[in-house]
Amino acid sequence: MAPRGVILATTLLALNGCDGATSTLQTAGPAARVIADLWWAMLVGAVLIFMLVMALVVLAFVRRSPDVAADERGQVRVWIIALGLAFPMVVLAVLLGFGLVIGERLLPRDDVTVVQVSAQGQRWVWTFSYADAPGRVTEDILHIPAGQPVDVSITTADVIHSFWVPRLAGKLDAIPGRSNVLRIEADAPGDYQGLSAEFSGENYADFGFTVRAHDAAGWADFIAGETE
Amino acid sequence: MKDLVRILIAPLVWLAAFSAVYGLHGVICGFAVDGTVFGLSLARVLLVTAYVLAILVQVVLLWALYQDRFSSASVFVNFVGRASGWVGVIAAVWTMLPAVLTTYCG
Repeated sequence: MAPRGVILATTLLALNGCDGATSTLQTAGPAARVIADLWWAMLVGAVLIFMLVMALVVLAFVRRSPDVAADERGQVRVWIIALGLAFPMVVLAVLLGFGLVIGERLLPRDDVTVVQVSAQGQRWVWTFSYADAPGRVTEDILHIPAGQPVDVSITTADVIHSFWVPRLAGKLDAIPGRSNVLRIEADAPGDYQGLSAEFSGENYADFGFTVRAHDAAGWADFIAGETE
Repeated sequence: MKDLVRILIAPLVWLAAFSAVYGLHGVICGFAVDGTVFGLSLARVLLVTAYVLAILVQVVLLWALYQDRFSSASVFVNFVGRASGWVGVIAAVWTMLPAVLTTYCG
């Protein structure tokens, strides 16, 4: 196979892993979209830096040896100060800036339109309860309204778990004795796969759940107890 | 031994300050410290004060590293000590900035 064919085949094979029910790149909500945007920006940056480094490696083999003694200060300025210190510092500073801004945007701020639900992990079942439907409990299926922000108060009855719906938002740990709040939102009605992102024992591989996003009528029916 | 102190003092103090500022951040959130001082959030005032103190300590260290009476006989040690002093100042400003800029208890 020609080199171009190999590159195309391996790229398509690699990109195939970005598709699916637990893909963070196939976003279905605003929080996941923000995280995916950051991921793409980091990927583009990483590729550009990798290409720069590879170009410099090739240059080192191709170019004749510079007369280091003649221009030592210039060499130090370019290779040590500019590329060795300033360049990584700028890259890390930009990444930190992005991280802080996006982190702030993902925080569950006070909002009267937010739906409140609770999630409790226990080996190996997730139990969900609903502020709008007191006494209503579901196992391994979290019902939410589509197009509306939902604050999930996450805790655990035993060991540490991690609540993660890759297509809707980032992950958040379930810590014994503590409630952590994660804001999720689904753009459209449908089922979204969730999983625990923290190893918790022998049945961990099957320790998943589903987030079922309803349209307005479906959500009203669920709250009224007309759907399971 | 003194040369070793000249070289390491700034990063070591930064390490302690970093732990102290984020430790304070944890205490503030863990004990739900609230209240106001001069119309400002007490938690934010405490964090900003700790941040400014951490930077001031690093600036004082850097100033000392440039003084003759604290200098080493070795030019190399002086250079590395002052460089690590600058690293300490920049690290203090940069790494503790999130504690004062971002939401302190999510």
